This record gives sequence, structure tokens and C-alpha cells, in this order.
Amino acid sequence: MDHLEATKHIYTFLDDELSQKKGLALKKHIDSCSDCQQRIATENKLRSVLKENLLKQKTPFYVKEEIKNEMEKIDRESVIREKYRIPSQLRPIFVSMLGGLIFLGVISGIFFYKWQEATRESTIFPRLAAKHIVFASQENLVDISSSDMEELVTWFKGKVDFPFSVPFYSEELDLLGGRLSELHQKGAVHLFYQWGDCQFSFFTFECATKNFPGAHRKEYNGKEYYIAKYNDQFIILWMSNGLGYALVCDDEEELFEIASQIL
Amino acid sequence: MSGLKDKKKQRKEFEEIALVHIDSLYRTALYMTKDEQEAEDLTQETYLKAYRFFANFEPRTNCKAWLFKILQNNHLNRCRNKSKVSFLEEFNEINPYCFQLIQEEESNPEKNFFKNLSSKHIRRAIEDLPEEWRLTVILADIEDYSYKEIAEVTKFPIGTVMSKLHRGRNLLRKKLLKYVKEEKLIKE
Ligand SMILES: [Zn+2]
Repeated sequence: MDHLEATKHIYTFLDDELSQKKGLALKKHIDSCSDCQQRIATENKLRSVLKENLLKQKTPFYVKEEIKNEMEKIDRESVIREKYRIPSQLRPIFVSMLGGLIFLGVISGIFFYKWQEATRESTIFPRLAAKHIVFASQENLVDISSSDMEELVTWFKGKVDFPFSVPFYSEELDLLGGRLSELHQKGAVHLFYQWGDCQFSFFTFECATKNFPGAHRKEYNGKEYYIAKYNDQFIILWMSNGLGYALVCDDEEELFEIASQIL
Repeated sequence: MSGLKDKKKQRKEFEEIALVHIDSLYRTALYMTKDEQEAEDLTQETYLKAYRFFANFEPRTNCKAWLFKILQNNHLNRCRNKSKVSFLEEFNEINPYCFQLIQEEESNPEKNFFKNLSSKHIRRAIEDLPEEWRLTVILADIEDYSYKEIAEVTKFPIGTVMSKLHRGRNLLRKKLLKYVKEEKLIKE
């Protein structure tokens, strides 16, 4: 081995990682090369200085204490966990019970949702009643004040998602105006009428269900009507072509009179 | 293992097999993170993880290497959350025989390299090494690890370990020379 190659292998030689063959060849060269001997001496010295210096660094005493404390904590926790662990023979039973519970939960969730949906429809009556009460107690509630039906129909065009028209006409009813209302998170038409000294509301809204628990179902002229009373307000509701219509008034007799006039 | 008594026995065993290496781990953590607080956290994290998985440790294998592996993993995970380790190209082109320079420096009596070399220089030079080289140098030169053991800890092939170690050592020596010279210049 020549000098140049020897220098390349000095680190590996000192690490004692050179193959036996190469190691022997290098040793042979070193024995006869003072330059390499010097290099090895310097390298060895440097290594021992480095090691001595870097080994001085010790762990702060509290680190070990902290680790020991944490280990004890881990043990205490795992003992508690093992104490309350389900034995492996019972695990399949536990898993199937858990599965059953989840299944029951899902099923009852579906039923609850259906029930909610059903009862939500019935909440339309209190809402209609409330809207009418607000109208009857506040004069300037109208969005558009007009007695011209065509003007009102044009005003509502585009404001509600359905083509709006009034399914009845009577000269005895005084139209006061209209307001863009909301039922089931959708735009609804709320019209105000005067009939003698009685004020009533007429609603047109989108309605998908015919399920109205809490209302009396009546048939009149071959059509279905639902009658309900909420907050001292009387409500007549009927459906036609996917739309719901409702009349609301606080006087039962007057309401039926109006209904018999227009329906 | 269930009762607290058994656990106490297990802790004692862990202390005897693993916790005795705490200085090696802390040192390595310190030179890797360059921050005492982080080194403490990293050491603790490593030991607690090792303790949790102590059952997986095979009694006859090298416990210190196992701990270093966990340390290295934790450290990499921490680094991933911070900035990526920079690896400068210039380090790839270093004079591979710089101990010759040290030798020249040393053989000149006025210069006297080793006399001027201080702990401060050594610490600074170690910490200035690119991270992957630093770990191989620490494991080889402080912990006296064989190439095979270093490969096991760092997950590099032995050839890669050798080249990283070679370059790391050269750069370390170059830096030491530079720092010693710089300080001497200031003193003069
Ligand atoms: Zn030679």
C-alpha cells in the first residue's frame, strides 16, 4: 500500500473496522512511514481530547428523578387500568353488547328524527297563530300596503319560490296589504284582510306533508280541511297542488262565515 | 405483571438495564438539539417511551442502541414539526485529509493547536456539524459505536455511515482549526 492510499484508510484503521487484509497491508506501510505514524499520533490525541471533553457533559440530577417519578405514574395508571379491564373471555360478549347498543342508538335516532319531523309539521299551527297575533296588534307590519290584488301578486313574484295567486275572491273582504313571511325556513305569503270589524290573515306557503297531528280533519265540498286552535286563534288549513293555505282569525264564528263565503 | 409489587420490580430492572445510560442519551440529545431544555425533554420522552415498550425489548440485545434508536426517532419527529434540517452543499467538498493541517499546526511550536483547543471550541464545532454527520460522529467518537451499531441506530446502510462519519470528522477537524486560529487572532 502506498502513502496516498494509506492516508485514506487511517480513520477506518483507527476505528478497527478495516478488513484483515487491508489492515495488515496498512500496518506494514505505517511501520515504515514516519508521516503516517505522526498522523496517527495526532489523530489519536485529538480523539482522546474530544472524547474527554464531550464526556464531561452530565445529565442534570433532576432529569433522572423526573423520569423515575413518571415511570411510577405510568405503573400506577396501568395497574388501575388492568384492574378494570374486561377479561378476554368476556370481550366478545362485551363487543356484541356494544354493537347492539350502537344499533339501538341508530334505530331510535331514526325514529326520533321521524317523530320530530312529524311533530314539526304540526308546529305550523302555533306559528300561523303567532304571526296573526303580531299582525293584529301592529298596524305598520305590512311590507306592501295595497288593496289591489294584482299589485300584490306582482310584488310577491320572485320573493317566494312558488307562483303565487289567491284561490278565492270576494267583494266583501277588504284587502289591507301583504308581508313576506317565513314558514319552514321558506318564503311564505301573508295577506291581511278586514271583514266587518274582524281582521284575519291569509297564508300561502310551501307544504310537503299532510300530517297535521293536533288538528281536526273535516271534509267540505269534497275537499279536506284541517281545523285547529292555538293561542285563542282559530286556523283553517287546506292543501292544493303542493301548496298550503291557511285562514287565521280570533273569532271562530266569523272564521267559519268567511270560510263558507270563499271556499 | 399486574400488582404494584411486580411493577416496582420491573422499574428496578429498567433502571439497571436502561437508566444507567442516561448520560449518553442526554449528551447526544444535547449535541443534537443544541438546547439544554430540549435535551432534557427529549431524554425524558425517550425513557418514558422505552419504559412503556419495555416488554418489547429483548433482554439479550443492546439496550443502549435500542434507546438511541428511540431517541433518534423522537428527535426526527420533533424536527419534522420545526424547520427541515439544512444540508449545505459546501460541506460535500472538503479536503478529506485535514488532520494533516492539524498536524502542521501542532508541529509548529508557536502555534500549538492542542494547547489552544478548549471545550468551548469542541462543543461549538460539534454543534455546527450538519445533523446527520453529527450523530454518526457522536456515536462513533464518544460512544465508541461500531459502524454496524451506528447503521442500526441511524437506519443508514454501513457504506453511508462510513461516508457520513468520514465527512463529519473532517469537517469537525476543519472547524476546530478555524476556531482555534480565530481565537488566536483575536488574542494577538
Ligand atoms: Zn504513509
